[in-house]
Amino acid sequence: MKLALARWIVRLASVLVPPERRADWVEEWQAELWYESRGRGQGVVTKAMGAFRAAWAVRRYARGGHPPAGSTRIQGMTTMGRDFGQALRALTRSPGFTLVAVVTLSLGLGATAAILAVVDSVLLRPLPYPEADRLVRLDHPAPGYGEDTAWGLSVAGYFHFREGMTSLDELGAWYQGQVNLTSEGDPERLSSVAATTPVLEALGATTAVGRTFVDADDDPGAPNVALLSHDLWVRRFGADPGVVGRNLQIDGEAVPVIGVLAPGFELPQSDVDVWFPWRLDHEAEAQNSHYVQAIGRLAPGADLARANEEMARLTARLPERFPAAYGDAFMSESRFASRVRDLREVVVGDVGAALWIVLAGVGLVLVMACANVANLVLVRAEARSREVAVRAAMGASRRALGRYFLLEGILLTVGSAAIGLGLAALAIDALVAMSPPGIPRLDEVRVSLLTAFVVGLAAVLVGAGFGAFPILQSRSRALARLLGEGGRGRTAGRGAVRVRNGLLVAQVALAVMLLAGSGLMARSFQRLAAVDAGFEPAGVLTFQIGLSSEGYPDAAAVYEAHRTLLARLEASGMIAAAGATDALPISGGHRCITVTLEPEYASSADEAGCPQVRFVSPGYFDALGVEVIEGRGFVEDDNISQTGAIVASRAMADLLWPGTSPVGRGARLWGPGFYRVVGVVEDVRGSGLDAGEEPILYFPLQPLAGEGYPPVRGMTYAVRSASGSTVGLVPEVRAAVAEVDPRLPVAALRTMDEIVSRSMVRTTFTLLLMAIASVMALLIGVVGMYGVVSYVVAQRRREMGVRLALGAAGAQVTGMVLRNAVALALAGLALGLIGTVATTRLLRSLLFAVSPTDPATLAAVSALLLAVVILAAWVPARRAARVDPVVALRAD
Amino acid sequence: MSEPESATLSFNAALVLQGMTRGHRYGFELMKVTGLPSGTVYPILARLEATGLVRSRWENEERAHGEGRPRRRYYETTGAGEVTLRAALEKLARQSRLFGDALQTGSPVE
Repeated sequence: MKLALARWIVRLASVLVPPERRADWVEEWQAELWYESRGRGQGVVTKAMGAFRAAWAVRRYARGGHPPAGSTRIQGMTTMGRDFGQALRALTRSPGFTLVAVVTLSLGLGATAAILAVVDSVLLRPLPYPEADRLVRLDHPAPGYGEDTAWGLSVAGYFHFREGMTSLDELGAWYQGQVNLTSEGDPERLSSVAATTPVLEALGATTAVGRTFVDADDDPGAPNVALLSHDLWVRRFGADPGVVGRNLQIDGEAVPVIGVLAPGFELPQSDVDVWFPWRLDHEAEAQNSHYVQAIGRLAPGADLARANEEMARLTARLPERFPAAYGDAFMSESRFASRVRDLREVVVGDVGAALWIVLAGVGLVLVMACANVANLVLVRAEARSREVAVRAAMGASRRALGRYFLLEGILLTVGSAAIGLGLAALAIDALVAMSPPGIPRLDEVRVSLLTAFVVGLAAVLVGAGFGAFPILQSRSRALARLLGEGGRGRTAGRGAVRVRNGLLVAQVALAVMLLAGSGLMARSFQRLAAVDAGFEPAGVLTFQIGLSSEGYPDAAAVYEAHRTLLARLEASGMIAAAGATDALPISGGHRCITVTLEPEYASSADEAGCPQVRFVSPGYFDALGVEVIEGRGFVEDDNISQTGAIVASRAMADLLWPGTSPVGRGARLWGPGFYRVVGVVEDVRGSGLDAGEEPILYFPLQPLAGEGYPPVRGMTYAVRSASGSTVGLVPEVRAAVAEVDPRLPVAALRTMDEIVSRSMVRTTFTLLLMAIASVMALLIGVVGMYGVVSYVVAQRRREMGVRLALGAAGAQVTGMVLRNAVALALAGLALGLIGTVATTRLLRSLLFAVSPTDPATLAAVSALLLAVVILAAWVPARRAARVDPVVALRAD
Repeated sequence: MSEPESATLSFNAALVLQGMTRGHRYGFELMKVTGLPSGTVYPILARLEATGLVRSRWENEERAHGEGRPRRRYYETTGAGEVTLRAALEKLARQSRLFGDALQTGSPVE
């Protein structure tokens, strides 16, 4: 039976043999098998398996031709190809080692590759615009009004810089907003941008259909036109090229479409549906209103330093050129400054810090993986030390030996790297799929050639390092000792043991550091989530509407529409409270209006600077769940009778009127009349939960009688569900809006919970990545510990056998192994804790309300790691106790 | 005959050649006597044959069939093969002096 199988195997292998030799070759093998089966007949099948390699060898040598006749240079036998094959075979002969090493390395290398790809795409690669490294953003930091405050340009300032800055080839301006589209389908609210032509030129915009803006479109008298984004064109107009030239109803106005932008073209950091030209009037009076987003292109030969210097000089001249808008008091109080920054720096923002930290974490994992495998290689090298010695004695030069082991190491690591890169590609797909919005450029991440090259190079270097171990061990003194000890079945001398232990300790230390970092971040996250936002987000649905001047020509009409909608919403049984505001907490940006205080009551100069101002309706505080702590909130009468009542947040009250109650105090905006504070409310968190409390002054929708501030056309509504659940509120809200005006689109329907969680996105994302790295570190640590302890136990079988034979109980042997492992773990723990304390201050920027050396976290991590180490060493330790002393003693 | 430029056979190849000179001529016999698997021995034989150190021949067909068994292929060293093997053995002898009796007794000299 076995013979038949063996013969069949040989026939299969014969396919490889060149046809002219095949018959002979098969006959030779079948004959040998026949004789084998007549003899002891052991392992015919195994022997037959060798036929494949034999056939392959015949094939190689038949094709390759003979070396010159009479040549006795056998050196050529040790070709790279042969060594490669040998190395491969050696690896497959110890499958346990190879499997563990490959899994460990590919995890480590894969994770590193994935994060490198992210770092490369997000931080290093240039933005997708032509010559993107020459693009710059201009803005005005105003630290006098807040540490991180930065404003856009004013219109007058924009022209001023455009004329004066020679270091810029182009300077463009834009601002974003929203418009209603009411033709060709359901009314929809589109995100829009008004931009001057240089913006599109600087960004290298091209069109799929039609044209982009030209300078003529920027003239103040020119007609309005629309440029559609590619996404909008496909989504709403079915990619119909005929849309160019058609008129769209935008905010009640008929606007012709002049073109469609190329696919993939975006404003940096924003997805915008439609572009309009921004027809700025050069002659218009200068105003102290800074909302212009400016982008420019550096002139050839110019650099950021020169541009910054020019802008600073020009900024200093603003008060002399526009004294009404840029008063000296304003300039010194706000500490008005100028700044030119690389576009990429602006886009990437502070994500860089988080990414580098994650990269460091993953780097630690890779180092752990390498330490792990190094340990395994070391132990395995000791086991093969005899083979090394004999090879060396048989004349294999040190170079040949070196090359052989080097190949083995490199084969291992490069193979793992290939697998790792595949894993990285998968991981990136998963990462992008669950990527939260707010991480810039994540959709651009790919495993680039650079990443693959770096990882490959790392693999080769590491593999070479691994390969060096057996060579280093084959020095003559060690050689003799090893050979002799090989005869007695003991493991290598103290030097090697120390290295091995050192590697284990290092692994544990690295794992501690990684876990501690993750633990701290997890606690941060926990604290962040528990922050009192100052309002109740649960059960609140928000949406936005915009009232265009065509349908609502004056302030009265706007106010009437808001009042009607609010009344209609509050009348619904599903809604407990409804309110409106021009900007929600957390998602609002820095917007301020200059406010002047009534002098007799203010403690400082009459100008209060530029505090945060919000326009809200009555019912707003109830809808969001903001507590009124003194006085009252807004009532409808404030709007009807234009009482001029305002409400201050607690921090604002402390800021403007410290030490006394703010109720009754006055403040005014642009007009002459003073508004009076009627109440104080609890603070809400500003942009992002980790921002501090922002002082806010709340104004009513209707201004004081006799004063006019522009009507608030774009409002965000917040409705609190009576039942506590927001499901089912959406149709109710749509119905209410449709009743007020069927042409009004409802936009940005989101629950407050969603908005809150989105603000924590950066921390969440980083935490997720660190958590994954930690889990991998734990896995690698476990596998490593298990692998090494197993191997060493197997090597020391003899010693265990002796001990057991001499009367030691199994438990004693187990205990011995465990004690060794635990001692190493404790050493690693100590080192790791020191390392953690030294390095976690680097995490400070990502931590929230948690000290970098939080003792509770460190204690938990230590306990976890100790438990893991004991677990990993347990199984091999038990196996040590079950060694049969007779077998162990007999084996060589 | 000139001294071969370098007589470094791979260790396994030397084993195989040595086995051959000791009279083990068939593939499977060489496997047993050297302790190497078939996947190693046969490629070595192919290599040695390709470089002219060894030649292979069928044994006498009539005799084999007459005795009711299949004919076997046997291998023998060529002149070049003998020379190469001799050089390798000399080198080995020089080097193994380092071990003294260690190879026989299995323990280090000290």
